[in-house]
Amino acid sequence: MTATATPKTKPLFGADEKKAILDPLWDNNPIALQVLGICSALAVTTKLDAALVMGAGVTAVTAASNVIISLIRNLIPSKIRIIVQLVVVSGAVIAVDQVLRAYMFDLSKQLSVFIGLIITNCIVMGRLEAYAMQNPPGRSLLDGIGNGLGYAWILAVVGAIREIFGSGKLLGMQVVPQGLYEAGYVNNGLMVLAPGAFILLGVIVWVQRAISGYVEK
Amino acid sequence: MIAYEVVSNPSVTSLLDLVAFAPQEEVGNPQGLVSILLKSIFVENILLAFFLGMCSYLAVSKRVDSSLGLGIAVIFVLGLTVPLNWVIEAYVLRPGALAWAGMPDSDLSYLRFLTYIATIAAAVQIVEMAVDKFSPKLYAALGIFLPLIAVNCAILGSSLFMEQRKYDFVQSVVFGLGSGTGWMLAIVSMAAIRWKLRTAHIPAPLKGLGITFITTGLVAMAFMTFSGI
Amino acid sequence: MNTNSNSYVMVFAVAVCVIISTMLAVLANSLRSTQDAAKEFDRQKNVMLAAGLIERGDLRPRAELEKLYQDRVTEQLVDTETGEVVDPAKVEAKGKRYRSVATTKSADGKLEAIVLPVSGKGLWSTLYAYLALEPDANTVRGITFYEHGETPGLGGEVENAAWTATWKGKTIFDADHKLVSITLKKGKVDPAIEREKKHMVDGLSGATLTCKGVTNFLLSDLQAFQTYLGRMAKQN
Repeated sequence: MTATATPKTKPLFGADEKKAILDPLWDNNPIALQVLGICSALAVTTKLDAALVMGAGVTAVTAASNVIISLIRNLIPSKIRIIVQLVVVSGAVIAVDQVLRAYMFDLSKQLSVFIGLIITNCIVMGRLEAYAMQNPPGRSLLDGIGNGLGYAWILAVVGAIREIFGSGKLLGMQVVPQGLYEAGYVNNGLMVLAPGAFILLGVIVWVQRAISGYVEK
Repeated sequence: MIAYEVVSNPSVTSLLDLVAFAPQEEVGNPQGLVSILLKSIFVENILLAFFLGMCSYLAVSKRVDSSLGLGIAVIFVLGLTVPLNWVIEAYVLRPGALAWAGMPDSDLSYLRFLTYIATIAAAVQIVEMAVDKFSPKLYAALGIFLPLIAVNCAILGSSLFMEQRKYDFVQSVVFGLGSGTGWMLAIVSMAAIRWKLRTAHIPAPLKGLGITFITTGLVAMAFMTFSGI
Repeated sequence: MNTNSNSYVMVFAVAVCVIISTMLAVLANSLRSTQDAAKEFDRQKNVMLAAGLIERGDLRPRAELEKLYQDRVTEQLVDTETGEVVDPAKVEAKGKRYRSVATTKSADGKLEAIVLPVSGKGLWSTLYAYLALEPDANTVRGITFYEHGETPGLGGEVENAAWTATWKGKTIFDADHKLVSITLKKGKVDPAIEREKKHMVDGLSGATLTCKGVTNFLLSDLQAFQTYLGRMAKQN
């Protein structure tokens, strides 16, 4: 699953850069291992399209705010750095929200307040504090994109599974054949609801950790 | 309700411009306070139905006493910031809200996220300092949780829901307290379950996060049975 | 440079705030007209969806749909007391007496649907919907809930196309021409009972309060339109 998203190694792409973008995709996945940004992972994933837009939004915000903070990292007074980070992140989120409202009105309606909640998505703040404050803009950009994508693919998987089993569709198109319904198959309503999301995410984390071999103490 | 209002703008001539076919600003929310309280605590628990505040929930729900502390801090901060943000929304951000300052055409609603989060961060900071000064005992119990709360999505989420649902001031106080109580209930019951789970035999990769999610799913199902009320 | 002196902190904080809010103000203002247009287009799409002019997931380009709306949909202002269509320019009084409706016509110019805006409280939020009636001003042609803040998966299922499809063919007046509106039953509709088959739809499971709200505001809004509907029924 991770290999598909791997960019080809270029000469100017050193080990650090590669690590910045690849690590968060699997070995150090923000959701499965760092346990960050769960809120929106569950709330917006009843359908795949919303999950994809949310993933893209988070990737954009993480990347943009990582770069901005990294650019001004030596100017920020340490006393107020958390507030400065919050302000930069909210600015980026507002920009994403405004653009969605103008060009993807349907989805922005569907995501409603959860776009705003990207601000408190711990992934964003976590990367700023842990990475962008110490690293140059270029690498911070890659780190932001990597973490955003690591988050986005889990969102997409959860969204796809919930949409297929919850409403028999994928991206709004019917995928479960009518014949199955006639044979007595019914959509699993639980998948659309909160408990289904929790249980599904639990199972995904289980599978991811069983493969990657990570064990919590 | 779609009400029709005559627009006294002579330049508007087409029917489409005039007819208030689109919904207008909602004036008030006639819901009873008790119903808001019960709904926000049980039926539509902010953590179990809207998934808000998961991060600190997962990090802290390992012990009952610390989750109780965090829960109380959340109730406190929610009860404070939701009404506070209501005031800001009503007198600064909403389109036309600055009429009292002589600027009836203002629309600062795009600054909503920024203002809400700044209010929350500032409120948390002030509460932290006040508690430290006046009640060191309380500070010892709650203090460490307060910084965690500024980035708890349940706090920002409640303010955003308050705006979306157009509560009035009193309703926003009740809603803030109710959401906080619901959040505390969820985290405390989860902590108790996790405490028990420590001794259970669980497959190694499922330990920790995995099993916590699955148990939360079951707790959420239990809370859903309240929806008949 | 000492980045922790008080004066530096102040200057920095002010600078960050000013720069960011200026950028946002520029962005928000330059996008505003596009946003308003997107919102208006979404509303038009929902009117056409309710009236059955387009299907959900219609992939035609926006300009084409907007043209369709202009050609086929007429928005009018109705005086709910007399049931007459009035000229908005001549209406002086404010209040709920005057409400807007839309009518759609088929390609050959015949009245096809009457679309009424209905709205009211659900569990959490105000739900907004368009209810389309056949020219007989009695039979439901379609309904779309286009704005709400109900819980996804529970009350949010008002958007479910399979569910809204069950509204089609229900009637809002009974055999004695009394307005009975449409009721969201708690549970499934029993097709053996005539009254249920004609005037009720299945409730949404787990969303009792949303359903109650929808039933209530549908009735009160239809009552407001009753005179107008009676006049339309006689005309057609």
